[in-house]
Amino acid sequence: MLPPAVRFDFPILSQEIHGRPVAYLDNAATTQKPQVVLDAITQYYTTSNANVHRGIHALADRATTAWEDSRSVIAAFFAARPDELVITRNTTEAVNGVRYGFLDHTLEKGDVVVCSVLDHHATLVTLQQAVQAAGAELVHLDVDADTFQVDLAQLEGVLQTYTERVKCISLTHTSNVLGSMLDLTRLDHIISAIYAPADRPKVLLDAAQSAPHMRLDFSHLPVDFLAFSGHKMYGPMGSGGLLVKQELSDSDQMRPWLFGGGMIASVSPEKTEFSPDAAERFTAGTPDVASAVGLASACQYLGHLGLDQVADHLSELVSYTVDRLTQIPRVQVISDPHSASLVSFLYDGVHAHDVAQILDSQGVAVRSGHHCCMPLHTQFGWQASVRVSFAVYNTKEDVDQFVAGLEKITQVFGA
Amino acid sequence: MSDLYQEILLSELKHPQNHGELPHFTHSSSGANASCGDQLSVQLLITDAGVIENIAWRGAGCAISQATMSLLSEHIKGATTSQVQALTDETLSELTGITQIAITRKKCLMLGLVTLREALKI
Repeated sequence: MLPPAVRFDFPILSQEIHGRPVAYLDNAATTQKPQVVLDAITQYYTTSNANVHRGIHALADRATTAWEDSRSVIAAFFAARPDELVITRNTTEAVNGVRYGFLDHTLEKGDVVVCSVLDHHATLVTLQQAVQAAGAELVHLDVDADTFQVDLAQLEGVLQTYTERVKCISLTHTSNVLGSMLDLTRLDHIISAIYAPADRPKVLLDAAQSAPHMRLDFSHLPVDFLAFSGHKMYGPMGSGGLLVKQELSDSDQMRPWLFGGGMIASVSPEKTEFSPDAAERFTAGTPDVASAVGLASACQYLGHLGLDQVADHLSELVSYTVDRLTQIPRVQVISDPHSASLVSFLYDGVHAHDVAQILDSQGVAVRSGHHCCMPLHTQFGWQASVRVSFAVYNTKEDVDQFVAGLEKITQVFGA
Repeated sequence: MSDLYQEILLSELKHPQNHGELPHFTHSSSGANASCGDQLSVQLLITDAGVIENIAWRGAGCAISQATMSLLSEHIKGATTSQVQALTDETLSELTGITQIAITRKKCLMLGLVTLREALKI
């Protein structure tokens, strides 16, 4: 376990909610921000703010350096090259970048995009729009109720059936409801067995739930796009990114989707040459330098804690929570008991929102609802579920406070 | 919190009034809160004079949405459609005893009234 003092790095957690210490267990939605991240943002605005790449003056130099350095730190966190990183506001915006920058001019009528039933609406809704616009087809892989895994055997069949018509495979690295992790090695074997290297469909990985606690080596991952949310990994709200393999971003397959200043090489009244530098070409207009500075600081913070230690910490909290919950007769755990960072459950006879409301009264923040995964909830017949998700500052005492809060439900709603 | 889960609401939840379906009805609608999955469907039998003669509803969702619908259904029986149109947030507060509700739960409280108003539009 990480030292309990980690909690003191997060000033928001020093307050009480409804007269109790706050047990913040809604980290899969967004994490809290450590003081070092808040300080980095303040430091940027108090010492270095100006527009980037434009002014020939000292503050513009500092702002440009802060932007470039931050991009390098964030890219390095994912073992990616800085020019493979497009800074976005969140995972959703990153996935939309794949739609507008790649799918819109790649998909033709009759083409196929593969996704799965457990995907977050961030990818599902975006892909729906892309296939509808192109007259293409979206194929949804099923999820096995026992293993919580996307059915990769089904994927094999889909790829063999549609072969060259499949232009993109979009899958979720870690489910934000089930907590299960995609087997990327097997995915790669399946694709490699069917396609020659040059003919492989492009793979988009939604890494929103894995990036905060897992070492992701983009240079070796068998994916072409990786989308993540900085705000779910201790960075500021409105920070995230899309990683695009360099050979793809440098090809005509990946095109700019936002246009304007900063992404150009030259402009005439009639036409524009885009910047040959991918880092510039996919960033139109003034970027949010402070957010990038904050996210870079968050990456460094995670690096100092050590991702392996972070993963062990979260894993222990998941085991402890599953053990406690399985002793409560009315609770049914519906997520992978070996999930890396979260536990989802149903409470018999009480709606998820009421469970969350009562937990809130006990100072415990959880998530309730469909978690932007309506198809998954529909498939398994859940109207809504409750999710607790962990971060570096959580402790077993937080879990104890949560479990004690569940006892209050019986007091309110009866046994 | 104590304001939210009072005895009156919990009792409605256990013994919902006007729950079910009508053999004959003139107006109906369904409502849902997309973010949480609360669902309600209502059926109304309204006379030519615009009086609500009978109502039935079904639903699934949180205690607030379901109990409020139950109280509301009994409250509007015998009322005119214009009286129902004139109902406000304050009416719901009086009916339920909920005087303060978090912004994220307001839609749970309102779903019954919103669904009723939809039914009257037709």
